[in-house]
Amino acid sequence: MPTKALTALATATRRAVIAGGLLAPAPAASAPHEMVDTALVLAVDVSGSVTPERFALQTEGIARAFEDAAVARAVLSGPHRAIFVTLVEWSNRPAVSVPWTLITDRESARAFAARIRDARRTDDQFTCMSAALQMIAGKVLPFLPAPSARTIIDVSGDGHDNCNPLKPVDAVRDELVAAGVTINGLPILEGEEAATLEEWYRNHVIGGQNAFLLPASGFRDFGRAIHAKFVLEISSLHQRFLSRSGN
Amino acid sequence: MWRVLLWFVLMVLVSGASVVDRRPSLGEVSAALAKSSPEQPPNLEGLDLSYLDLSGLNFHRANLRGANLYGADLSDCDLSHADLSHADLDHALIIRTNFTGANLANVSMYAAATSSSLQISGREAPILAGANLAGARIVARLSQTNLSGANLKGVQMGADRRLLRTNLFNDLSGSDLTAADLSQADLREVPLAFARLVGAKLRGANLAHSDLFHADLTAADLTGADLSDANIAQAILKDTLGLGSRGQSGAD
Repeated sequence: MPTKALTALATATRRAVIAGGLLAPAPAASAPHEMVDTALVLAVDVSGSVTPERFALQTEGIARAFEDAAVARAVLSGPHRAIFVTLVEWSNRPAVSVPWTLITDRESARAFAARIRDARRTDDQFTCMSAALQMIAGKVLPFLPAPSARTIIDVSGDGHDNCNPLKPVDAVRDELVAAGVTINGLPILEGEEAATLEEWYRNHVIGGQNAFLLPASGFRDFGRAIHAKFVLEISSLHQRFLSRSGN
Repeated sequence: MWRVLLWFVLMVLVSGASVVDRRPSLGEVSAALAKSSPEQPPNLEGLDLSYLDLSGLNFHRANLRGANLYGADLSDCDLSHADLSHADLDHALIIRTNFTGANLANVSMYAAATSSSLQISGREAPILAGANLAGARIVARLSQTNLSGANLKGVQMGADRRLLRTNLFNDLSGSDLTAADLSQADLREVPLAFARLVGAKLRGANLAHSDLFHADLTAADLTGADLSDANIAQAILKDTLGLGSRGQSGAD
């Protein structure tokens, strides 16, 4: 059962969709902070299997995507022409590496990219995805600075949850989905768990309206995958595409 | 008619109790913090926050009077200038927690964890500078902790025979207690080696069997303090007041 906080979040998200996403006219560019099109949580795996080189491939992939014109166009394609984005690194204990940042144009997207490159790694050993999603629900989403039409958690990683959590990943996912949150997955298919990871993400991680998986065939493919994912996630074309395709 | 009235009163009482006794979720605590402002700090008075993972959250100036924080994870929290008086902090994790200027009067801090391993490290110590710990009951390893200017009047940190079979004990060795007020504090058997007690008020404190090896007691006031069987070897006693007034022993 979702908690009251998540129920409140669901109500706020639904209200936001009605008030801002569908009915309200596009606001003036000078006041984008009153409402944003997307609140995007980038949840990046920093467990033991993620070497410094692999971590750099992830952060560089995210940074380059935010520097790309196509992503900037996607950000500006919504009615509010603004998104909030934050970076959470997760392993034994999740931590916010880059707090909620407002992106309204190419300049702010580039500044965010620079912060991603500067983010200090908070590495540890285990792949505690349930704990990460609980932390995002309890400590990240409540601090969103402005209402959002959509809330998306973008989980990337190269392994299954191996922390024996009290609350399984599915249960946390279901609470978030009930609150109106969409969880998308970017499993990195490299290493011992590559063969089963995509299916595990499909069954246990992703959920919510228009949720999708976009696997990377390895850490070196992460940049391509995250770029494609952002364009799909942030762009308002995404929903129209998915609704037409009956997803 | 009176039955209807009685039923109404009963329902009001029941519903009222459920609000007061309700245990908030982590998301609700965060939402309260997100809504707060410097003019309107969060009010979490008397709430049951036991066992919640509150690590890293900002409770600056929050009202947590009488809150139940038993077993809560307060690591890396900003609790500076928060009001935690009469709160229950037993078994709480207080690693790197910032309590600067906080009101911790009469708290219970039994077996609070100040380290993520068996090795105590100053880098993990909570910050208690300027905090009000008057009358608090503490069993915690607070070595290498910044307690400068703290009010520790009547604090209960003395050895408790009931804890002998456990691995629980107080430790203030290497801590900074500069200008702290430790009047009437119960510091029996507490390790205070290498502690900095410059200008500290220790009037009437019970320091019996305590270890003050190499402690800096410059200009400290020990008037009426019980130093019986205390180890003050190599302690710095420049301008120390009240020495020899009662039970002093062990000085080199």
